[in-house]
Amino acid sequence: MNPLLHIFLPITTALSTSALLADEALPPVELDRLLTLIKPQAGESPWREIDWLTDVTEARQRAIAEDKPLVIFTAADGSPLGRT
Amino acid sequence: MDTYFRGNSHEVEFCNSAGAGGNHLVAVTAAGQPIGDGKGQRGHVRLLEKDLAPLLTAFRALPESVRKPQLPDPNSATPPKRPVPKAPKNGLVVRGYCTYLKTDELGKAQRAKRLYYQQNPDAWAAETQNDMLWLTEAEWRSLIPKNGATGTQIIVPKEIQRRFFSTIGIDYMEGSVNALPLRESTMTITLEKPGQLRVDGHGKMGKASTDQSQTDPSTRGCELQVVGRIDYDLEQKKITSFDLVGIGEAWGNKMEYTRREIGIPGPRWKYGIACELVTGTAPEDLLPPYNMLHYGGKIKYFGE
Repeated sequence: MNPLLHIFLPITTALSTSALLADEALPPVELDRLLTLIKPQAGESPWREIDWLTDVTEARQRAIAEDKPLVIFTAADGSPLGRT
Repeated sequence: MDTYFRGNSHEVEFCNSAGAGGNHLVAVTAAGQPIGDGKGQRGHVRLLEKDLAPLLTAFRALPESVRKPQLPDPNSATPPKRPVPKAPKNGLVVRGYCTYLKTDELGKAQRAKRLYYQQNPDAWAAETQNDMLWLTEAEWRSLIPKNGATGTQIIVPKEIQRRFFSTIGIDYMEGSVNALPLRESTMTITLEKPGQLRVDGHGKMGKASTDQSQTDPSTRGCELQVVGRIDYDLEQKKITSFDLVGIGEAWGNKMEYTRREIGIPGPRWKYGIACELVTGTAPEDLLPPYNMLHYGGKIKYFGE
Protein backbone atom coordinates (compact mmCIF):
# COMPACT_ATOMS: atom_id res chain seq x y z
CA MET A 1 0.00 0.00 0.00
CA ASN A 2 1.39 3.34 -0.97
CA PRO A 3 1.93 5.24 2.29
CA LEU A 4 1.83 8.65 0.72
CA LEU A 5 -1.35 10.67 0.56
CA HIS A 6 -1.81 12.17 -2.86
CA ILE A 7 -3.56 15.37 -3.54
CA PHE A 8 -5.51 16.38 -6.40
CA LEU A 9 -5.99 14.33 -7.72
CA PRO A 10 -15.76 -5.96 -37.64
CA ILE A 11 -15.66 -6.76 -37.78
CA THR A 12 -13.34 -7.12 -40.73
CA THR A 13 -14.06 -4.04 -42.78
CA ALA A 14 -10.73 -2.52 -43.72
CA LEU A 15 -10.25 1.15 -43.09
CA SER A 16 -8.03 2.23 -45.90
CA THR A 17 -6.49 5.67 -46.05
CA SER A 18 -8.94 6.68 -48.73
CA ALA A 19 -11.87 5.67 -46.52
CA LEU A 20 -10.67 8.03 -43.79
CA LEU A 21 -11.24 11.05 -45.94
CA ALA A 22 -14.11 9.85 -48.08
CA ASP A 23 -17.67 10.92 -47.60
CA GLU A 24 -18.37 7.30 -46.83
CA ALA A 25 -19.45 6.87 -43.22
CA LEU A 26 -17.62 4.70 -40.71
CA PRO A 27 -19.25 1.26 -40.59
CA PRO A 28 -21.24 0.89 -37.36
CA VAL A 29 -19.94 -2.63 -36.94
CA GLU A 30 -16.50 -1.15 -36.18
CA LEU A 31 -17.83 0.77 -33.18
CA ASP A 32 -17.08 -1.73 -30.42
CA ARG A 33 -13.64 -2.65 -31.77
CA LEU A 34 -12.64 1.00 -32.07
CA LEU A 35 -14.00 1.85 -28.61
CA THR A 36 -11.70 -0.78 -27.13
CA LEU A 37 -8.81 0.26 -29.35
CA ILE A 38 -8.95 3.99 -28.64
CA LYS A 39 -9.80 4.04 -24.93
CA PRO A 40 -6.86 3.83 -22.52
CA GLN A 41 -5.18 0.45 -22.53
CA ALA A 42 -4.63 -1.60 -19.39
CA GLY A 43 -1.44 -0.50 -17.64
CA GLU A 44 -0.92 2.45 -19.97
CA SER A 45 -0.99 5.10 -17.25
CA PRO A 46 -0.33 3.56 -13.82
CA TRP A 47 -0.24 6.98 -12.20
CA ARG A 48 -3.94 7.41 -12.99
CA GLU A 49 -4.74 4.48 -10.73
CA ILE A 50 -3.70 6.50 -7.69
CA ASP A 51 -6.64 7.70 -5.62
CA TRP A 52 -6.07 11.38 -6.35
CA LEU A 53 -7.90 14.16 -4.57
CA THR A 54 -8.65 17.52 -6.16
CA ASP A 55 -9.72 19.50 -3.08
CA VAL A 56 -6.71 21.14 -1.46
CA THR A 57 -8.30 21.66 1.94
CA GLU A 58 -9.67 18.13 2.08
CA ALA A 59 -6.25 16.77 1.22
CA ARG A 60 -4.51 18.83 3.90
CA GLN A 61 -7.05 17.71 6.50
CA ARG A 62 -6.57 14.07 5.55
CA ALA A 63 -2.81 14.44 5.57
CA ILE A 64 -2.97 15.70 9.14
CA ALA A 65 -5.51 13.10 10.25
CA GLU A 66 -3.54 10.25 8.69
CA ASP A 67 -0.08 11.69 9.48
CA LYS A 68 1.02 11.59 5.86
CA PRO A 69 2.82 13.92 3.48
CA LEU A 70 1.33 15.25 0.30
CA VAL A 71 2.38 14.82 -3.30
CA ILE A 72 0.90 17.59 -5.38
CA PHE A 73 0.70 17.17 -9.14
CA THR A 74 -0.04 20.34 -11.06
CA ALA A 75 -0.26 21.21 -14.73
CA ALA A 76 0.22 24.63 -16.22
CA ASP A 77 -3.01 24.57 -18.23
CA GLY A 78 -5.59 22.02 -17.28
CA SER A 79 -5.73 19.24 -14.74
CA PRO A 80 -3.35 16.27 -14.97
CA LEU A 81 -6.44 14.09 -14.69
CA GLY A 82 -7.85 15.65 -17.84
CA ARG A 83 -6.27 17.15 -20.91
CA THR A 84 -3.06 19.01 -20.41
CA MET B 1 -4.61 20.41 -10.01
CA ASP B 2 -4.93 23.05 -12.69
CA THR B 3 -2.49 25.84 -11.84
CA TYR B 4 -5.10 28.45 -12.71
CA PHE B 5 -7.71 26.93 -10.40
CA ARG B 6 -5.95 26.32 -7.12
CA GLY B 7 -8.85 27.28 -4.88
CA ASN B 8 -9.59 29.91 -2.24
CA SER B 9 -7.07 32.31 -0.73
CA HIS B 10 -5.84 29.81 1.88
CA GLU B 11 -5.40 27.14 -0.75
CA VAL B 12 -3.53 29.44 -3.11
CA GLU B 13 -1.28 30.55 -0.29
CA PHE B 14 -0.60 26.93 0.58
CA CYS B 15 0.20 26.08 -3.04
CA ASN B 16 2.56 29.03 -3.33
CA SER B 17 4.33 27.96 -0.15
CA ALA B 18 4.56 24.44 -1.49
CA GLY B 19 5.82 25.54 -4.89
CA ALA B 20 2.82 23.77 -6.41
CA GLY B 21 2.15 25.14 -9.87
CA GLY B 22 3.19 24.66 -13.45
CA ASN B 23 3.98 21.22 -14.79
CA HIS B 24 5.48 19.71 -11.66
CA LEU B 25 5.19 17.37 -8.73
CA VAL B 26 6.17 18.45 -5.24
CA ALA B 27 6.19 16.57 -1.96
CA VAL B 28 5.25 18.70 1.05
CA THR B 29 3.77 18.68 4.53
CA ALA B 30 0.20 19.79 5.14
CA ALA B 31 1.66 23.22 5.93
CA GLY B 32 3.23 23.47 2.51
CA GLN B 33 6.78 22.89 3.66
CA PRO B 34 8.88 20.99 1.12
CA ILE B 35 10.09 17.69 2.49
CA GLY B 36 13.74 16.84 2.69
CA ASP B 37 16.21 19.59 1.93
CA GLY B 38 13.59 21.30 -0.24
CA LYS B 39 15.93 21.28 -3.20
CA GLY B 40 15.30 19.39 -6.39
CA GLN B 41 11.54 19.37 -5.86
CA ARG B 42 9.95 20.89 -8.93
CA GLY B 43 10.91 18.87 -11.94
CA HIS B 44 12.69 16.23 -9.89
CA VAL B 45 10.02 14.56 -7.79
CA ARG B 46 8.62 11.68 -9.77
CA LEU B 47 6.07 9.00 -9.00
CA LEU B 48 8.78 6.42 -8.51
CA GLU B 49 9.52 4.57 -5.30
CA LYS B 50 13.19 5.52 -5.46
CA ASP B 51 12.21 9.20 -5.50
CA LEU B 52 9.44 9.06 -2.94
CA ALA B 53 10.83 6.63 -0.35
CA PRO B 54 13.57 8.99 0.90
CA LEU B 55 11.03 11.81 1.13
CA LEU B 56 8.75 9.62 3.23
CA THR B 57 11.64 8.83 5.54
CA ALA B 58 12.41 12.52 5.86
CA PHE B 59 8.76 13.28 6.60
CA ARG B 60 8.59 10.71 9.38
CA ALA B 61 11.65 12.28 10.99
CA LEU B 62 9.92 15.65 11.30
CA PRO B 63 8.43 16.76 14.63
CA GLU B 64 4.73 16.05 15.01
CA SER B 65 4.00 19.76 15.21
CA VAL B 66 5.46 20.12 11.71
CA ARG B 67 3.79 17.01 10.31
CA LYS B 68 0.41 18.01 11.74
CA PRO B 69 0.13 21.78 11.57
CA GLN B 70 -2.81 23.85 12.65
CA LEU B 71 -4.81 24.84 9.59
CA PRO B 72 -6.35 28.32 9.30
CA ASP B 73 -10.06 28.82 9.84
CA PRO B 74 -11.61 28.05 6.41
CA ASN B 75 -14.29 30.67 7.09
CA SER B 76 -11.62 33.34 6.89
CA ALA B 77 -10.64 32.39 3.33
CA THR B 78 -11.50 34.58 0.37
CA PRO B 79 -13.45 32.59 -2.24
CA PRO B 80 -11.61 31.53 -5.42
CA LYS B 81 -11.14 34.25 -8.01
CA ARG B 82 -11.89 31.65 -10.66
CA PRO B 83 -14.20 28.96 -9.30
CA VAL B 84 -14.21 25.65 -11.14
CA PRO B 85 -17.36 25.50 -13.28
CA LYS B 86 -19.92 22.82 -12.62
CA ALA B 87 -21.76 20.79 -15.23
CA PRO B 88 -25.20 22.13 -16.24
CA LYS B 89 -28.03 20.97 -14.01
CA ASN B 90 -29.53 17.77 -15.47
CA GLY B 91 -26.98 18.09 -18.24
CA LEU B 92 -25.10 15.32 -19.99
CA VAL B 93 -21.43 14.69 -19.21
CA VAL B 94 -19.38 12.80 -21.77
CA ARG B 95 -15.74 11.82 -21.50
CA GLY B 96 -13.71 11.83 -24.68
CA TYR B 97 -10.45 10.06 -25.38
CA CYS B 98 -7.85 10.73 -28.05
CA THR B 99 -4.97 8.64 -29.26
CA TYR B 100 -2.68 8.31 -32.25
CA LEU B 101 -3.55 5.68 -34.84
CA LYS B 102 -1.94 4.08 -37.83
CA THR B 103 -3.14 1.84 -40.59
CA ASP B 104 -1.86 -1.71 -40.56
CA GLU B 105 -0.94 -3.83 -43.56
CA LEU B 106 -4.55 -4.92 -43.88
CA GLY B 107 -5.77 -1.35 -43.88
CA LYS B 108 -7.27 -1.52 -40.40
CA ALA B 109 -6.86 1.21 -37.80
CA GLN B 110 -4.48 0.31 -34.96
CA ARG B 111 -2.94 2.30 -32.12
CA ALA B 112 0.33 4.02 -32.98
CA LYS B 113 3.04 4.42 -30.39
CA ARG B 114 4.53 7.88 -30.49
CA LEU B 115 7.37 9.07 -28.30
CA TYR B 116 7.93 12.43 -26.71
CA TYR B 117 11.43 13.82 -26.97
CA GLN B 118 12.96 10.98 -28.90
CA GLN B 119 16.46 12.27 -28.24
CA ASN B 120 15.88 12.01 -24.51
CA PRO B 121 16.94 8.65 -23.04
CA ASP B 122 13.89 8.87 -20.79
CA ALA B 123 11.60 9.24 -23.80
CA TRP B 124 8.16 7.90 -23.02
CA ALA B 125 5.18 7.06 -25.16
CA ALA B 126 2.41 9.61 -25.54
CA GLU B 127 -0.49 8.48 -23.36
CA THR B 128 -4.14 8.49 -24.34
CA GLN B 129 -5.56 11.93 -23.65
CA ASN B 130 -8.98 12.58 -22.22
CA ASP B 131 -11.31 15.55 -22.06
CA MET B 132 -14.94 16.27 -21.28
CA LEU B 133 -17.97 17.39 -23.25
CA TRP B 134 -20.92 19.01 -21.53
CA LEU B 135 -24.42 19.29 -22.97
CA THR B 136 -27.29 21.11 -21.35
CA GLU B 137 -30.51 19.29 -20.60
CA ALA B 138 -32.25 20.92 -23.56
CA GLU B 139 -29.38 19.93 -25.82
CA TRP B 140 -29.28 16.24 -24.98
CA ARG B 141 -33.07 16.01 -25.10
CA SER B 142 -32.90 17.41 -28.62
CA LEU B 143 -30.95 14.29 -29.66
CA ILE B 144 -33.88 11.99 -28.96
CA PRO B 145 -36.34 11.88 -31.87
CA LYS B 146 -39.88 12.79 -30.93
CA ASN B 147 -41.15 10.50 -33.66
CA GLY B 148 -40.68 6.96 -32.38
CA ALA B 149 -40.77 5.27 -35.79
CA THR B 150 -37.73 3.12 -36.60
CA GLY B 151 -35.61 4.83 -39.22
CA THR B 152 -36.53 8.33 -38.13
CA GLN B 153 -33.62 10.68 -38.68
CA ILE B 154 -32.81 14.02 -37.13
CA ILE B 155 -29.97 16.41 -37.72
CA VAL B 156 -27.90 17.11 -34.62
CA PRO B 157 -28.19 20.82 -33.78
CA LYS B 158 -25.37 22.90 -35.23
CA GLU B 159 -24.22 24.16 -31.82
CA ILE B 160 -23.71 20.60 -30.58
CA GLN B 161 -21.83 19.71 -33.75
CA ARG B 162 -19.62 22.76 -33.34
CA ARG B 163 -18.81 22.03 -29.71
CA PHE B 164 -18.16 18.35 -30.33
CA PHE B 165 -15.98 18.63 -33.43
CA SER B 166 -14.10 21.77 -32.36
CA THR B 167 -13.10 20.55 -28.90
CA ILE B 168 -13.04 16.78 -28.49
CA GLY B 169 -13.21 15.93 -32.18
CA ILE B 170 -9.78 17.37 -32.91
CA ASP B 171 -6.39 15.81 -32.34
CA TYR B 172 -5.59 17.03 -28.83
CA MET B 173 -2.81 14.62 -28.05
CA GLU B 174 -0.53 17.58 -27.44
CA GLY B 175 -2.80 18.63 -24.60
CA SER B 176 -2.77 22.39 -24.40
CA VAL B 177 -4.03 23.18 -27.88
CA ASN B 178 -6.73 25.53 -29.09
CA ALA B 179 -10.15 24.43 -30.11
CA LEU B 180 -10.32 24.50 -33.89
CA PRO B 181 -13.03 26.37 -35.79
CA LEU B 182 -15.45 24.08 -37.55
CA ARG B 183 -15.35 24.61 -41.31
CA GLU B 184 -18.10 22.19 -42.18
CA SER B 185 -19.81 19.20 -40.64
CA THR B 186 -22.67 16.78 -40.79
CA MET B 187 -24.09 14.75 -37.91
CA THR B 188 -27.29 12.77 -38.02
CA ILE B 189 -29.10 10.56 -35.57
CA THR B 190 -31.09 7.59 -36.74
CA LEU B 191 -33.58 5.69 -34.59
CA GLU B 192 -32.41 2.07 -34.99
CA LYS B 193 -34.96 0.61 -32.63
CA PRO B 194 -36.86 1.86 -29.58
CA GLY B 195 -34.27 3.10 -27.09
CA GLN B 196 -31.31 3.00 -29.44
CA LEU B 197 -29.93 5.65 -31.75
CA ARG B 198 -27.13 5.55 -34.29
CA VAL B 199 -24.91 8.58 -34.81
CA ASP B 200 -23.08 9.29 -38.07
CA GLY B 201 -20.99 12.33 -38.67
CA HIS B 202 -18.15 14.00 -40.45
CA GLY B 203 -16.29 17.18 -39.56
CA LYS B 204 -13.61 19.39 -41.01
CA MET B 205 -11.85 21.55 -38.47
CA GLY B 206 -9.22 24.25 -38.65
CA LYS B 207 -7.32 24.98 -41.82
CA ALA B 208 -7.52 22.90 -44.96
CA SER B 209 -4.54 20.67 -45.66
CA THR B 210 -1.99 22.02 -48.16
CA ASP B 211 1.55 21.22 -49.24
CA GLN B 212 2.77 23.90 -46.83
CA SER B 213 0.88 22.63 -43.77
CA GLN B 214 3.99 21.18 -42.20
CA THR B 215 6.11 24.30 -42.55
CA ASP B 216 3.89 27.37 -42.59
CA PRO B 217 2.53 28.85 -39.35
CA SER B 218 -1.09 28.57 -38.23
CA THR B 219 -1.86 25.50 -40.31
CA ARG B 220 -3.50 23.13 -37.84
CA GLY B 221 -6.44 21.19 -39.17
CA CYS B 222 -8.26 17.91 -38.81
CA GLU B 223 -10.89 15.87 -40.55
CA LEU B 224 -12.91 13.25 -38.67
CA GLN B 225 -15.43 10.53 -39.47
CA VAL B 226 -17.68 9.55 -36.60
CA VAL B 227 -20.02 6.69 -35.76
CA GLY B 228 -21.78 6.08 -32.49
CA ARG B 229 -24.55 4.54 -30.50
CA ILE B 230 -26.75 6.29 -27.93
CA ASP B 231 -29.05 4.27 -25.69
CA TYR B 232 -31.88 5.91 -23.83
CA ASP B 233 -34.41 4.73 -21.28
CA LEU B 234 -37.90 5.18 -22.70
CA GLU B 235 -39.62 5.26 -19.34
CA GLN B 236 -37.20 7.47 -17.46
CA LYS B 237 -36.52 9.50 -20.61
CA LYS B 238 -32.78 9.73 -20.06
CA ILE B 239 -29.67 8.71 -21.94
CA THR B 240 -28.05 5.61 -20.45
CA SER B 241 -25.03 5.23 -22.70
CA PHE B 242 -23.17 7.38 -25.20
CA ASP B 243 -20.62 5.42 -27.22
CA LEU B 244 -18.98 7.23 -30.08
CA VAL B 245 -15.76 6.76 -32.04
CA GLY B 246 -14.04 8.80 -34.70
CA ILE B 247 -11.19 8.15 -37.09
CA GLY B 248 -9.42 11.16 -38.44
CA GLU B 249 -6.39 12.74 -39.96
CA ALA B 250 -4.60 15.80 -38.65
CA TRP B 251 -1.97 18.13 -40.02
CA GLY B 252 -0.21 21.33 -39.15
CA ASN B 253 3.10 22.81 -38.16
CA LYS B 254 3.72 21.13 -34.80
CA MET B 255 6.90 23.03 -34.14
CA GLU B 256 5.05 26.29 -34.66
CA TYR B 257 2.27 25.68 -32.20
CA THR B 258 3.81 23.39 -29.63
CA ARG B 259 7.48 24.27 -29.95
CA ARG B 260 8.41 20.64 -29.59
CA GLU B 261 8.42 17.54 -31.65
CA ILE B 262 6.50 14.41 -30.89
CA GLY B 263 8.23 12.72 -33.78
CA ILE B 264 5.38 11.93 -36.11
CA PRO B 265 6.57 11.18 -39.62
CA GLY B 266 4.93 12.81 -42.57
CA PRO B 267 2.82 15.92 -43.04
CA ARG B 268 -0.42 14.15 -41.99
CA TRP B 269 -1.09 11.69 -39.22
CA LYS B 270 -3.98 9.57 -38.09
CA TYR B 271 -5.78 9.86 -34.78
CA GLY B 272 -8.84 8.43 -33.13
CA ILE B 273 -11.35 9.68 -30.61
CA ALA B 274 -13.79 7.75 -28.44
CA CYS B 275 -16.56 8.91 -26.12
CA GLU B 276 -18.43 7.45 -23.18
CA LEU B 277 -21.15 8.61 -20.81
CA VAL B 278 -20.04 9.83 -17.38
CA THR B 279 -22.37 9.45 -14.43
CA GLY B 280 -19.92 9.25 -11.54
CA THR B 281 -18.72 11.87 -9.10
CA ALA B 282 -15.05 10.96 -8.82
CA PRO B 283 -12.70 13.95 -9.12
CA GLU B 284 -11.91 13.14 -12.74
CA ASP B 285 -15.64 13.00 -13.55
CA LEU B 286 -16.16 16.56 -12.36
CA LEU B 287 -13.47 18.21 -14.46
CA PRO B 288 -14.73 20.91 -16.79
CA PRO B 289 -14.10 20.60 -20.51
CA TYR B 290 -10.62 21.82 -21.33
CA ASN B 291 -11.54 24.45 -23.91
CA MET B 292 -14.15 25.90 -21.59
CA LEU B 293 -11.27 27.13 -19.47
CA HIS B 294 -8.26 27.23 -21.77
CA TYR B 295 -7.62 28.06 -25.40
CA GLY B 296 -11.26 28.02 -26.31
CA GLY B 297 -10.94 30.88 -28.72
CA LYS B 298 -13.47 33.64 -29.00
CA ILE B 299 -16.46 31.33 -29.17
CA LYS B 300 -18.20 30.73 -25.85
CA TYR B 301 -18.36 27.09 -24.84
CA PHE B 302 -22.17 26.98 -24.84
CA GLY B 303 -22.43 29.28 -27.81
CA GLU B 304 -23.76 32.82 -27.98
